[in-house]
Amino acid sequence: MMQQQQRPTSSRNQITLRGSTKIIVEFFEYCINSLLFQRGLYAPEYFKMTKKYGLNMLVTNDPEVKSHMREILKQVEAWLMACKVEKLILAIKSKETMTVLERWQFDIHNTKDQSSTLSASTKTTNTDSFSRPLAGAGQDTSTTVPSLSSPSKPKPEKTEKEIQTEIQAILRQITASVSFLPMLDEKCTWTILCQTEKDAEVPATWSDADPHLVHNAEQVKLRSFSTNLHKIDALVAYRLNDDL
Amino acid sequence: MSSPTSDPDLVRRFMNRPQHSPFTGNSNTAAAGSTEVRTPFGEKRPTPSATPPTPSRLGPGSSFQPLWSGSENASPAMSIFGQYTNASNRSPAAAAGEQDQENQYLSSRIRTRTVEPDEYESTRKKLRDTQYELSSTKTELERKIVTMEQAARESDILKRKLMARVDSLESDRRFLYEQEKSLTKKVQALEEDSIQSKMASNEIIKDLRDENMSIKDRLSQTQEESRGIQSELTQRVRTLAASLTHQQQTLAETQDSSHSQSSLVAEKHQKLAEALDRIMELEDQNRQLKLNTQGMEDVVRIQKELQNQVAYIKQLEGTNRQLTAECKHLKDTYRNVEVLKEEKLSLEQKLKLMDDLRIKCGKYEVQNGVLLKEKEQWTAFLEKSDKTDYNSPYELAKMIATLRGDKAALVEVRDEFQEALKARDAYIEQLEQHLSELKTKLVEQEEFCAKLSSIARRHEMTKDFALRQVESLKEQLKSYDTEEVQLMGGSYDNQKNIRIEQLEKLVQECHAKLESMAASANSATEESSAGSAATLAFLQAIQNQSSVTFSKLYAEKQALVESKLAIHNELELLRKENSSLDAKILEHEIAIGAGAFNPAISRVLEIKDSPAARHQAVRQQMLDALKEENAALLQSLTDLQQQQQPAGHLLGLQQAAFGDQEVALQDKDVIPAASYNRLLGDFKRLQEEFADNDKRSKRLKQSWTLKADEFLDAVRSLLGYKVNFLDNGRVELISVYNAEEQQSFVFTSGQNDEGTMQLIGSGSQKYMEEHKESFDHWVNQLGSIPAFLSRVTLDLVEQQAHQLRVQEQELQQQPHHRPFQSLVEDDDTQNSDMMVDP
Repeated sequence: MMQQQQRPTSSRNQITLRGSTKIIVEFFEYCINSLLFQRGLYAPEYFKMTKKYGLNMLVTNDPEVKSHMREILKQVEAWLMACKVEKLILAIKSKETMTVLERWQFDIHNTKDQSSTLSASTKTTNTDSFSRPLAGAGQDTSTTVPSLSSPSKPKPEKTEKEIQTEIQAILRQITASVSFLPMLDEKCTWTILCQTEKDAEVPATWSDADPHLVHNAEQVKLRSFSTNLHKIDALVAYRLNDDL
Repeated sequence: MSSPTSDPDLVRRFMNRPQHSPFTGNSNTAAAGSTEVRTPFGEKRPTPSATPPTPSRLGPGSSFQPLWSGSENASPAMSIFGQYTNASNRSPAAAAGEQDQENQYLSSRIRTRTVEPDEYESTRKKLRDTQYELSSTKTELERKIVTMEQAARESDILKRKLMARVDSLESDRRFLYEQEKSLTKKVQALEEDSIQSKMASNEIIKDLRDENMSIKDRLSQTQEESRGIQSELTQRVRTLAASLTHQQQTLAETQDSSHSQSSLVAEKHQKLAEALDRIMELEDQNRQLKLNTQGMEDVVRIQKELQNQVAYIKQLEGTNRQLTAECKHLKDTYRNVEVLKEEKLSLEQKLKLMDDLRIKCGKYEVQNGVLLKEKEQWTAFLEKSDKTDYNSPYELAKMIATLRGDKAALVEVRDEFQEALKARDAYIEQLEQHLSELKTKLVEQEEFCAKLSSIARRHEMTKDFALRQVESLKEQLKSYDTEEVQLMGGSYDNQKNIRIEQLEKLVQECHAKLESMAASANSATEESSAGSAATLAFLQAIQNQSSVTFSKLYAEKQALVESKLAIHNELELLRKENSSLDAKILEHEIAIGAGAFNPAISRVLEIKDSPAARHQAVRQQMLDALKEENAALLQSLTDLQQQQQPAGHLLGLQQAAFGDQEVALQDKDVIPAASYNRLLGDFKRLQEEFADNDKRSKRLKQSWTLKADEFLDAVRSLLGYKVNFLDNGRVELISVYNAEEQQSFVFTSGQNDEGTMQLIGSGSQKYMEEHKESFDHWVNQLGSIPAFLSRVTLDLVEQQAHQLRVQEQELQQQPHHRPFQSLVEDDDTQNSDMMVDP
């Protein structure tokens, strides 16, 4: 059924998927770089400033980190193209105890699939919409109802500028979030996790990993941005001090 | 004794001896042989007797028999050997054999004369040979004769010697006889001496017996002494045994802690038992001695043994003392051990308690978790609107209690109401009963009325019927009359009249009846009007009926209200559930945010070569290396200990006093390869760290130089001076508005580097002179270098402006270039960068 629907517009979808994936991967690159700088995982000398999304972004100039990041993002791109990736997670761990101190989670929703499945079964979207609003579950109940009917109408295509402003907002928020996050007193290291679907193709360089749960976690939902095909929700979970 | 008498016999025996004496036998036979040869003999032929004489007695006899046969008494010497010849004659068979041989020889000589010349020659030759043989045998025999003669001579000499010996022996015999005589004399003397000595010995024996007696006495004394000593010893032994048993008891107490000691004590005990046995043996020996005293030696031996025993017992006592001391020490240690054991037991109990506590703690934790969940559920259930009044569960409980009290009160009120209701119900029931009675009465009345009305109706109907009958009868009568008139002409007139009269009477009766009936009906109506009260009651009943329906309706309404309340409550509950579910959703979302995921649907992947993994690997490596090193070091330590142990405690103590370093230096094997490897790893890691730091410092320098450039640019654009830092802390300021590079001011920091600057010169003397006035004014008089510099800047700008104006005038229109503004624009970005940069 779905394949039949997709076939006439597959080439266009392919293009938009590629474009969307490119946007998302680029966002991840800058976002992770920014986080590595903001959270002090590397000394400031490891970064150089570039302009992106109308912001001064700090990007690492350490070849080792660069190549590592490139390798990860290449794989993420492949998974995004296969629509297999669900979440991308940047976990910050203590070097001494190896406990997870912070967990930056980016949920990737495939909005195109949702719009196609919406007409087929409203039930799934209902639960989806139920899980979507994180902080204000009670408040948004009234607003989600009309949104359910909206997908029947074709969504207006988002321009690149709109996406960029959304990304800008989310990056600004990430930068600002440093103010409320606890100080990372100890030496830290980092890793990137990728939550994919069960049947995703996994290269030899990747392996199944611990989900890096944050114990005694406090979490803050951040802004989200969406392309025509994807919606990215950002969330940061951080470990509260035990004595508090 | 009889030697002097047998002297002549002895001599004779000596004379006959040569045949038997071993040292003369052979020589005699040889001499006999030689005498044989000397006899005149016709024939000479080789015989075995020609060979040297043989020791056998038979040989010479047999071989020389034919020689002797002819000359038995040839020489007087031969008579001596007569016996031998006789002996040889005793074998006649042998002699016959000899004769046969001689006969054969003679016959063969006769035969030779009769043979032919060839044979003759051969026989001649044989003769020659035999002659030659004969001559050779002759010479041999001659030689033998010479040797025989020599032997005879020797035998003569021997004879003479023997004779001499016989003489000497005779003299010896005589000497011996004399000697014997003297000896018998001596024996007699000796016998006398022996008697005397016997006497003396008897005396000595007597003395010895006396001595023995005295020794016996002494022995008995010593035995008594020994008995006393024995009893003492036994007592001591007993006390020792008692003490030993005591020791054993104490030892038994400490047996668990000191097996070796107990074994030692057992050994000692055994030895003591042995000693006791020995003492017993000694006692036995003493008893035996009592019975048959063997002399002083046993006593001495016993004394010695007793001394030995005493020494041994002393030794035992010494060892006992040592053992008691050890025992005390062990007791102390045992006490300590017991204390420790008790402590250990108490600690174990504590541990058990702690374990129990831990388990309890675990249970409590679980309970706590459950309670927390419950609490969460409660908090979820208790909405904000609910918990405005109370902040704690205590208040909540209080509230619930008050609510319960209220509820109880309300229940009481409700009960009261219910009771009232019941009373009412009963009353209502009574009323209803009354009503029903009235109803039945009414029904009866109605029935009665209906009956009456029906009777009335029937009466009317009968009346109508009767009227109609009357009319019909009248008509019949008329018709009858007419018929009669017409047909009969008045035959039954009377009868008819009678009948008519009867009928009229009947009618009248009927009328009367009717009237009475009407009257009764009237009375009945009157009666009914009198029962208007009953109708009122009926009305009331109707009212009651309506009220019943009303009450029914009311009840329905109440039920509806209750259901509404129930629904409301349900709604409330559902809302609460909803909120709790919301809370749960939030919880789940928090869990998802913390990293939880559904492993059935999705999987979490990580790149293997992540910085965290790398760090982990490095740490693991470090840990492994350290573990290996630790194990190796422990191994070497144990080796060292093993080496040190046999060397003895003192040595070990000394070594410990000297310190481990020396040991380490002495023994190169102490540092294992693992620690070297670990150090290598550390070294590598440090090198990497160093390289990292190097890289970092390089980057820092780069960024610093960039920043410094930025800063200098900012200073240049803001203050109009290009700042060059020279060596020795000097600073060169070149104005932006200067045309030439040389036009500069050089400052140096003031004394003690306090931040003050001094102008010490300039790039060109001319330039300095140009601004000397303003320098004097601003610096020397007012003491402000910035003001001076600003003055210079202003001068230069004015100068430049003036020049520009001149140029404008000259070149009319030219694009105006203002570097300052552009620089300021650049700075904006730079500043913004700086601001953004954290």
